[in-house]
Amino acid sequence: MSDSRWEKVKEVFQAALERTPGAERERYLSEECGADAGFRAEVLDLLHSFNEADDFLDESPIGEVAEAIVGKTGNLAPGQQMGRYRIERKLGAGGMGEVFLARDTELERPVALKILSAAFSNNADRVRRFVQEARSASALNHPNILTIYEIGQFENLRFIATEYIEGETLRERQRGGGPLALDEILDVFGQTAAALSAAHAANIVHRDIKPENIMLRRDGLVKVLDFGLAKLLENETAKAGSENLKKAQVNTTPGLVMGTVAYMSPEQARGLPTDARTDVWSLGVCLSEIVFGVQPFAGEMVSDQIAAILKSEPEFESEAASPGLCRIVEKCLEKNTENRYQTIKDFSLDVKNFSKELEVPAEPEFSFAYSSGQKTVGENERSNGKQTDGRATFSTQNSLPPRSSSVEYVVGKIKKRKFLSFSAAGVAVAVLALVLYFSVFSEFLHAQPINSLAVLSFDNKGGNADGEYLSDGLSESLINKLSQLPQLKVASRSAAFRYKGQNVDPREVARALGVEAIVTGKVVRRGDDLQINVELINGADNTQIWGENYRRKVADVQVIQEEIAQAVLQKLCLKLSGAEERRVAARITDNPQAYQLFLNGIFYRRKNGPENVKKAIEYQNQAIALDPEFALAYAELGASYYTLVISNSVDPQTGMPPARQAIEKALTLNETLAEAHELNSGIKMSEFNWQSAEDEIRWAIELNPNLAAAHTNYADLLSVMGRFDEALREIRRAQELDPLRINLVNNEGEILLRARRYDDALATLDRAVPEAANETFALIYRARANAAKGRYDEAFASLRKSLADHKTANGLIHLGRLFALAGKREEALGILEQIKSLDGYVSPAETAILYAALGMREQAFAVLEQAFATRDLQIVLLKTASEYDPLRDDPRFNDLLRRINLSQ
Amino acid sequence: MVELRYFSGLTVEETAEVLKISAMTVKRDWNVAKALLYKEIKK
Repeated sequence: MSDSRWEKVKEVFQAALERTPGAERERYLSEECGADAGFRAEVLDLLHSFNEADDFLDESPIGEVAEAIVGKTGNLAPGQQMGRYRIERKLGAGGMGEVFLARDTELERPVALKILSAAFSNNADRVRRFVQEARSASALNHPNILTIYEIGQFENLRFIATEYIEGETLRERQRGGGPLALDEILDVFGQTAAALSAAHAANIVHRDIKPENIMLRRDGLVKVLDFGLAKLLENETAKAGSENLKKAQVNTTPGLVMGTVAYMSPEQARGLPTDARTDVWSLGVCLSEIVFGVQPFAGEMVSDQIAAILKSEPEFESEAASPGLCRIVEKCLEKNTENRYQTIKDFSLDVKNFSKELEVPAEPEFSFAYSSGQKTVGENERSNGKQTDGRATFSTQNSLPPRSSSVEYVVGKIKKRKFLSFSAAGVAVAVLALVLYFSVFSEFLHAQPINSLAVLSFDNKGGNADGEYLSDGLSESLINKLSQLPQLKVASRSAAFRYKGQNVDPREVARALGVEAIVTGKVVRRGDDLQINVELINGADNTQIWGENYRRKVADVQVIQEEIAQAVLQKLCLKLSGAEERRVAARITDNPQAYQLFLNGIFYRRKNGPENVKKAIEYQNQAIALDPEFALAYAELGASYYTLVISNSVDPQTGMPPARQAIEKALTLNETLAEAHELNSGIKMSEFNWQSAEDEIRWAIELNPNLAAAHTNYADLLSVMGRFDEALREIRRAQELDPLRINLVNNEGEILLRARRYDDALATLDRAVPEAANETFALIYRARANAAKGRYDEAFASLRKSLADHKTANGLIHLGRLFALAGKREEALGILEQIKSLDGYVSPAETAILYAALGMREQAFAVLEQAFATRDLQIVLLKTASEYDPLRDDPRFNDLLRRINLSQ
Repeated sequence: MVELRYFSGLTVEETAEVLKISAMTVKRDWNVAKALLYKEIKK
């Protein structure tokens, strides 16, 4: 149909509708259409459709969907049992049903239980999509994202169990606690952005960011809630439109939808496809609301709000707030997605830069802006407490009650800066004087912050063994505590403890470890009396920055550790956020005796030999008996079991379950333990759950970027999966962080070996200093690389050296393989017998290598099956290790790979 | 317009204001859109 003809049809149709159906309309049609029967048929067709359509589309589905999802969940009473969960109390009603606080009676932990309304649960299709969506969200493992424990069903009720957060939403915080300080705001939005960034990386868009979905835990950690759920609602809305042509008389509940509408992006309001940039918009709305105290797109009715979102341009005048912050808000609230921040990362970057900018001037003069309530710097410009002077103008009228906001704070900052620039411009002499003043005294006025340090192992001076666990444990727990601060680089324990018992020059240590300051200490224990002497030394000139002598009881050791940490941080002049301060101040246990046992456990785990590790397990169990909420003791317990498994002291079937249980408990009690996440990654890897293993290790790194061991493990994980370039990047990062771990170069060699870059592997292994190059496993790697290149003599030489140093099953297996390759079958079979008679655990997956080399396929697959059944840790090398090549063409090999969730 | 009227639940008058056209035009175009969409769906 041509355009002009369609215009005509439309016009006649519209005009016909305005005439009474029947004779009048007929007459009109006859007049207009004349003899053109086709034309008349088209108009009639439209009229017919229109009549049939009835009130199709007339009722927006928003209300209908709202009702469907808010429906009742039945009556759940406190004390009622739902499977493994016992209902404790109702927390509230949310978008999809009601939320209860419940207790998981199996894992003994509190959970938040979201029960879906019956209306929602009854539709199989909705439930399927709901589960699918919740699953993808539950795959998001990030400290700032609410963890989903379970998506399940009890009788006819669908539910999601998530971690339970004690704290308040950003909305509650804003309403209850008075205006947020600017640094708190920046901290909260920084953390929220981190959560969104992680989600976006996984292709999940939140779509419903609002202050109600941003939860502030008491320790300052931000948790973003309800990921992926909003999309579901959106689908429901669209679906209801095409499905439901019947009239449904509903009471719209505007209040319900309104809250969300205010944060909707223009593309959402228009029903267009949305992407990550929609979250940028919503985050911008939240930010502007928190900073200025009013919503930028407010209105009495949903329609007013939508109109505002679509057409009004709120103005954030730079006079009223810092121009930097205004620019950030404005860039979030660009109507055209192309002009907005393209990623949340860009937003974070600007927020970070902005916080840095603020740190420049000191601001004692307007700290009163909070304490004196309405008496603020901007007071004269306010009337009725409302910003009506155009300083913070919004082109839409806002209906929210006025509340004091952080705007005063920002105004103060600007004024302060202005004042400074005036004096600079106007009074040149003063400036000159100032410059002189600063050049002379600045050294005293502005102590340079120290950003890196090493805590050396404290000396046990009492000479009795009772003191050693205290001196080692104290220094190690100090390292752990200080490592939690991302802005402070702390040398790893393994690097710092190299100097244990040595008399060293702090300047030399500082240079070797690449740090600016050194913490040293002496511990003397006599019975219950404890004397600790600590010093913080500037590595540049060997001067003492701070020193303290503590004379206390042994039971006070934890308190002393806390005091040392606080004093050191203060002397370093680091700027900590509130959350960081709380994290550092957090006490690991309230039971002094449990703390002693914990330190003992750490001490014994660090000693070699299964007997010591078993002792460590005993100590941690005793510590836990005294304090069942002792998260770090559970983490150490898990680490001890894991140590037993990886040192082949116990088989994985015996060692892994208790390790897993302890780590899970530790993370339930405190999910900010980087080491526990690191271990959990190893556990997930042993379960062939690659995605979780990667999430966990990344989480560990996020929590503590200084943790060199986490980068090493990440490198291992990546190389096992065949992602060699990334693996090399991680191992090099670990080497940078921990330059004194001389054997990390061997790990790099192993990765290159897995990547089958044999020449590079050999060149890398050559880089190692003699001490590292002669390590048992380094020699085996070298032999394997040489064997792959057909240089059997070199390979034999390295292997014999390795076995002379330490007779490992791994070394023997590769020796046997080498015999087989060199045509010495008898010798190879002899090695096979030798392996069978070895003490300790021998990995069946490794044994398969020897069978494969001997051409004994059936036996090879038999032990591989056994390896799979017993969750042998070494089976993960199936994908990359070239030693399995003789088996690769067998369908059973592919089947095994598939079962461990890897592919060729 | 369908976006505003249907997906956002705006009234004819509100839609007219947002789009800066007369309420009458909204109503007329809305009728056409409704008839067309219904026809398409019924197909």
